[in-house]
Amino acid sequence: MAAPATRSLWLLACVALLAVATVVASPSRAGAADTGRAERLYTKALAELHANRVPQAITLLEESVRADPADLHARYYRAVAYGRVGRFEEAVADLKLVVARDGFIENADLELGYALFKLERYEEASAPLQRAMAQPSTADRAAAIYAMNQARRGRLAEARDGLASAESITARYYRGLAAYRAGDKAAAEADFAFVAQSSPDSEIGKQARVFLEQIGESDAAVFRLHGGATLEYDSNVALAPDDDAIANLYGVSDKDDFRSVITAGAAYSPYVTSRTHVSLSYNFLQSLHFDLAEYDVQTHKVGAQVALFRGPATIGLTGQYEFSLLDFDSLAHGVTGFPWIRFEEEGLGRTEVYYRLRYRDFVLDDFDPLRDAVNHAPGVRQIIDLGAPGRFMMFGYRFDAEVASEDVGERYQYNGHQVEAGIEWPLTDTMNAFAMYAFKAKDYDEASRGRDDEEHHVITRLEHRLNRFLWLAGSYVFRGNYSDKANFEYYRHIVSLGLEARY
Amino acid sequence: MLRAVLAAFVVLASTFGATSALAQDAGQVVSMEGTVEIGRDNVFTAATVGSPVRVGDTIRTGNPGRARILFQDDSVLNVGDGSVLSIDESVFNPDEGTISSMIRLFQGKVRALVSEYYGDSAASYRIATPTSVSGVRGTEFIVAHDVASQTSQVLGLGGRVAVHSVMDLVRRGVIIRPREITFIAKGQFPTPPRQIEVTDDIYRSLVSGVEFPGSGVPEGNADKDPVVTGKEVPVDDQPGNVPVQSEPGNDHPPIADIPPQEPGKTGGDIVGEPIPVITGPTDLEIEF
Repeated sequence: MAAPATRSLWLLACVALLAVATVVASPSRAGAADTGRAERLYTKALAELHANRVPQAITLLEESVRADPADLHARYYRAVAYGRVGRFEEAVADLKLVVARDGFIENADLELGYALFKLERYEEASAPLQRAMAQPSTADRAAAIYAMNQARRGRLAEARDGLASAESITARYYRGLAAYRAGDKAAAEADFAFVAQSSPDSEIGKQARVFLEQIGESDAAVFRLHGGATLEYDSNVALAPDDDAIANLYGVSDKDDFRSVITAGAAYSPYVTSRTHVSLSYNFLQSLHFDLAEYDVQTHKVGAQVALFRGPATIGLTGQYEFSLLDFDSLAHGVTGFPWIRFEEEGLGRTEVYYRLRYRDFVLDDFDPLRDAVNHAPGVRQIIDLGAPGRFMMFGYRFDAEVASEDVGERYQYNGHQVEAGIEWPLTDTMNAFAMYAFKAKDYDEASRGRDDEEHHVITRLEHRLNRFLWLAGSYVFRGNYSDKANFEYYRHIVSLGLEARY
Repeated sequence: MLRAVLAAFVVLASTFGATSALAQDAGQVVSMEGTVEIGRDNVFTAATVGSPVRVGDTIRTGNPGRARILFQDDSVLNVGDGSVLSIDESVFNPDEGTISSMIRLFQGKVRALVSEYYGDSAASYRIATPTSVSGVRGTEFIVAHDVASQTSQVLGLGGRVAVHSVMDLVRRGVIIRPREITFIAKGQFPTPPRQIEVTDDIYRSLVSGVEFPGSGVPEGNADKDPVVTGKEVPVDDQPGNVPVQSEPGNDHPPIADIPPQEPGKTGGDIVGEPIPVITGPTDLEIEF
């Protein structure tokens, strides 16, 4: 039998063990207290949030999440508070946890999609926004953001299907935008009219009215006119060989000159629908050199075109008759057949594929029949949008075969391969810049005794819109033809400044 | 009808029964959904988020109608659908050690999340129903009262809750621990506490509807964005900046000639070769 002291010690140890065991065996107490604390903290934070004291709310919410990291309400409201101060990255992290517990907070998908949209993570935002659109309680708000998100992705057409049952003015505005962009003016008009009538004084209502006016104007815009007067400096009007000895031989040394170039044109579209355009055009050009009278060129072009809009594809057939004069003497006439197709790729840009078939018949003795030829030029070009209207890059390739009509012209027959790259970049709302480089390798017929040329083109153009109809345009063009026959090797720089009117 | 009569009675009763700080805000509505009304001076007005709640106020919720009230002592009260209650007492003077709350539930269901201030033995947090009074020391619990059966239920969620019948507020009470429930019928004492599983229908029924109001559609940022609400339209989406595939003028063919602009054209460009070479002496072939 144990001594009383020993028994007391045993008893004390047992009591202590029991106390420890009680604490350890009651984990829910500590967890429950933290859970309750977390809930009280985020409730308090909510009051701060309503009072627009966001930093205080964030402090409470961070404490709340620390108290119970599993509390999704705390995380949801912390995300909301983060969003209020633009901390969307942190908001996304919290919202992803909330969304992972499917349906716990219906708003979570909407808020996650919205936060990702604000972070310009448009692709990632699509899925939660689509889920939010499937829930009646968030469908309309989600539809509006989804439409904007898809517009930023360049996939507005996709959004149009998703917005079929949208009712909010924002969603209807974007549905109208999608229809407008696709050329479905009747559908666009219905949506913009709804927005303009439902909310006439709001900004979105005002913009919808402007769209309605534009739709009315565009229906009537079947005439287009353009004209321009340009002053140009051309360092090599005659395309004189670079070699001075050869240039002297041909009497074309120092053939640089200023010239004025007058252009004018008109287009008339007798048949315009959202699916078909038929247009007729006439274009005129006259260059008048300051010193070198024998190089003045005049051209007249009469054209007709049918363009069919079929979903993302535009299919066109352009035909043109051209008549040229050199120094006011008939130079040449010719016809061009030009089937083409342009395929819009939402989110990327567009692809153009074309085949230009041109026949030229020279009438001026110097070139007839030497340069009479058929030219076949199939080509493809990829235009890549760079995230803003009018901002794009392009890359292209064109095969070019010149086939002489008469044997005498065989030495000017060639097969050419041209690659090109360009960029267009609006600098301001009224100023636009364009730059392009093209390289063309021409392998001439055996009759040329093995002539091979390499052409380099650099084109830069800056245009400034003065008002609705007038543009001021400046450009620099370089053309260098490197040939293994020195009499065909030349360089040329053209600088121009012109005023253009377009209506 | 019964609810309206009950509410009118409650308003009168609470007007005379309120004990302190009549004009002071006891708390505020921080979240709600459905119909929630606050009765004050015999007039009920619709509550909104941020509405103050005062001692003597009657809160009534519709079906649906849920509210979360944050009290100045950091306690939180979630009011379920179809409930009527009054704030009989709300004293919060922690410096003076006087902290007490008395809420009277006439009908429906509430979930109380009692703040840590009530851990002090001098503090008192009570929820009374027509058949029971529940007092707590820093805990979380649900009290429900069914008018038809004149029975109250108290479910413990955390901590301990002392539950008494209104017939004897001192003796014959029971202590409810987490996941224990007691029933108090009219004219009777609380039933002995019994364990209840979270999967039990009674547990589910009690917990349902007193979760966080707004859990379905709580507020967020998306509906406050001026672009989403149509107050602003991004520049890219305004007329003039939206390319239209089939707009007249957008049917131009691809650029096939380099340079694309007409200016710069000379006779040589049309001929396709340097004119002087072609028009020069044909018997001359200069090779280098």
